[in-house]
Amino acid sequence: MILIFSSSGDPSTLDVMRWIHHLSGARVVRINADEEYRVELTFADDDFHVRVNDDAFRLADVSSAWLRKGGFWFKGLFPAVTAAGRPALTRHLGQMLERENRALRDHFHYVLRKRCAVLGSAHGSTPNKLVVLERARELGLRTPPFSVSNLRSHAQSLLASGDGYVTKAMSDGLYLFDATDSKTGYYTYTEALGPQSLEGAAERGAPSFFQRYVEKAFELRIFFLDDQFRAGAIFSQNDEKTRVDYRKYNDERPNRVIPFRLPQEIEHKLSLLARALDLNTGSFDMIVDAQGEYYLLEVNPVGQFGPLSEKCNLGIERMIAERLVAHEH
Amino acid sequence: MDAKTLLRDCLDKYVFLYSDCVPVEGYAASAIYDLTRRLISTFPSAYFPFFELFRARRLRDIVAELGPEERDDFVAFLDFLLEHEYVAVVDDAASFPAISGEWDAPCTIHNAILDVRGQHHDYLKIVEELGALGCQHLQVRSYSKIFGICELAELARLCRGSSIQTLEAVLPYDPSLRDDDYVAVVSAHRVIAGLVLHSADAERRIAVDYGARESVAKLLTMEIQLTTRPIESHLDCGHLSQRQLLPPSTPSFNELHHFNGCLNRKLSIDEGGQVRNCPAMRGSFGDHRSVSLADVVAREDFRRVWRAKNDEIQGCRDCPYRYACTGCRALLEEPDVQDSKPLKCGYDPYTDAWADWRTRANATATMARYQARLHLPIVRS
Repeated sequence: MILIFSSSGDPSTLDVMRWIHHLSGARVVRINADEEYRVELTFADDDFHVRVNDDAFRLADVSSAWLRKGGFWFKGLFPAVTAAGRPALTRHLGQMLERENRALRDHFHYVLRKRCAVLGSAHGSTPNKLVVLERARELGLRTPPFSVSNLRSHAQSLLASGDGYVTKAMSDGLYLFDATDSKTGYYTYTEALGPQSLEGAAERGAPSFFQRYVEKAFELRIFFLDDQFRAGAIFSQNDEKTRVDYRKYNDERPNRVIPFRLPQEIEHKLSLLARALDLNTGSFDMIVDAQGEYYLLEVNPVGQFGPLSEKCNLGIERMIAERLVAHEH
Repeated sequence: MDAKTLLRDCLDKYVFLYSDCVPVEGYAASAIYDLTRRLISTFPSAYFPFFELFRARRLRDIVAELGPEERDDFVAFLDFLLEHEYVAVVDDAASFPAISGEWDAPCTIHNAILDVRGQHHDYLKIVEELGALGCQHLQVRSYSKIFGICELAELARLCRGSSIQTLEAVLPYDPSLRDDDYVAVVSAHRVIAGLVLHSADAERRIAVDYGARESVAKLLTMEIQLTTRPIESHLDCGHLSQRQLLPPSTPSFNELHHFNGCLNRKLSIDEGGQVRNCPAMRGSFGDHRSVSLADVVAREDFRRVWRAKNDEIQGCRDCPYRYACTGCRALLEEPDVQDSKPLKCGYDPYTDAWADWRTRANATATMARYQARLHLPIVRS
């Protein structure tokens, strides 16, 4: 049996599941982080017995698991507790239940990893961006110089240097598709640091991440699964809208995305970096400058590979399905 | 950058055609398929050999061999390529391999058509069996009142939880219903991705916004299309004009190199309940109630037409649009010739001209032949 943890709107999960069904008769159970289920869960005899709505299974039945999206998938196991008229106690109990939840989750992941082939990261989200950059540099990969500061004067000195800088979130950027209240999508992008960025900013603000802007010839989106790499080059440089962040799509003239053959040396270093970060799948974002130098920007363990796979005919969904099916007997 | 600058500053470089821009040679006109921007542009086939030269030689060596009268044409051609951003100049294109031409899809049947006129089919059996085959898209075409908006809602409910991702319907317009009645059914079933109402009172559209607003609404809105045109039978299908060409994408472009774009991994139930490759094609594989769709699809004689790719069809093999065209194997210019070109195609690859197919010699007579051999009497509603 193959267990997939994802979120309900993820199109790649559906595509991979199609391939699994097409290639094998394996049973697949998909659990979405953003859905409420009726969950029954017992941990005993070194195994988990789980029932999610009508799907019952034991971890002993699971040959492969894919942690595609989300952190912990059994929501609502710990119902909220309210102590009437005692907000401090209520808050404290809430935090305590969160810790209980986390302890259970960590153990579940531990047993999962011990028992079956797990694809994806149990962290559930991006590893620390700053640590990734440090690790990359230790392995001999170039990264654009960065700094973090809460001082307006620091940002001003960067501006004054004339070198060109960008600023973005240190953690995951904001990405909210609010389907309930305002019916609006909210996103943050990588933005160029300009005089307008500092308008109205106090002398001491929130610590912010600054990174040297690298004039790129093209960007690379590199998907990896174990030691297999599939790369595409994105030509976003000609376009004002996508110069700084290619996700600011230009709908009329979308950026070209074409297959790219990674130099072996870069592939080898990325492979070491993935291992150092304990990732067996994910996507690296790199840029290549006019001199042909490679810079690592970040790694995303759960990024969207669908468009890259389709446009460049890389067959990523099938690769993942084959990896998941391989452990079925 | 324009061609003049290029010929001044970049003579020692290679002209690199981005690998998502693929040249396709035709007889009179050839084409470039822009797989990212999903556009096709054409140019006289005389320029086609330049692509081979671009790969093999530096710009300097190409220019050196041009005669004086060829030079202006070459500059114009380069400008055409630059304007569309089809090319860049590079020192070495070895890092950019071609997009793989392989094609496969995670389904045994990709899409299916259901025609309805005088009788209902066993919709539950059909949807269940299509689901087991991984079918992603289902189109229902109704030529009579027995299948209207209520029946569509029922079919949409059957599709829930199956592999079918989108349901498209072509229904006769019912003047006793209000626009809101149509909107209500479409809104309630997200699987309904398209609805065309034929024989309507006017050419118009009804917007369905699913309650979304602003930028999100732009992404979600669906339109119900009303057309005054009556759609009377499956013989109304098969039109191939500029408008009908598929905006090229990597998967469709690759698929059309190996397979027939209309019939590959397709299954149809005609109005009499017979399983066919296409409702308009001869050759029934039995009544859907008495055969298993999986058994039909496994048959080699059912799959044979899937491989009738445009490269092997008369005329089509010389057409620059052959990898953007679904083609038609049901209605042929010469009905008795297996590799005859589609009857309703308006393009002539030997003159690079578009015309109304009906104006071609014998076209109406051939169409009358097809009408005469309809496998079922037309039941007017």
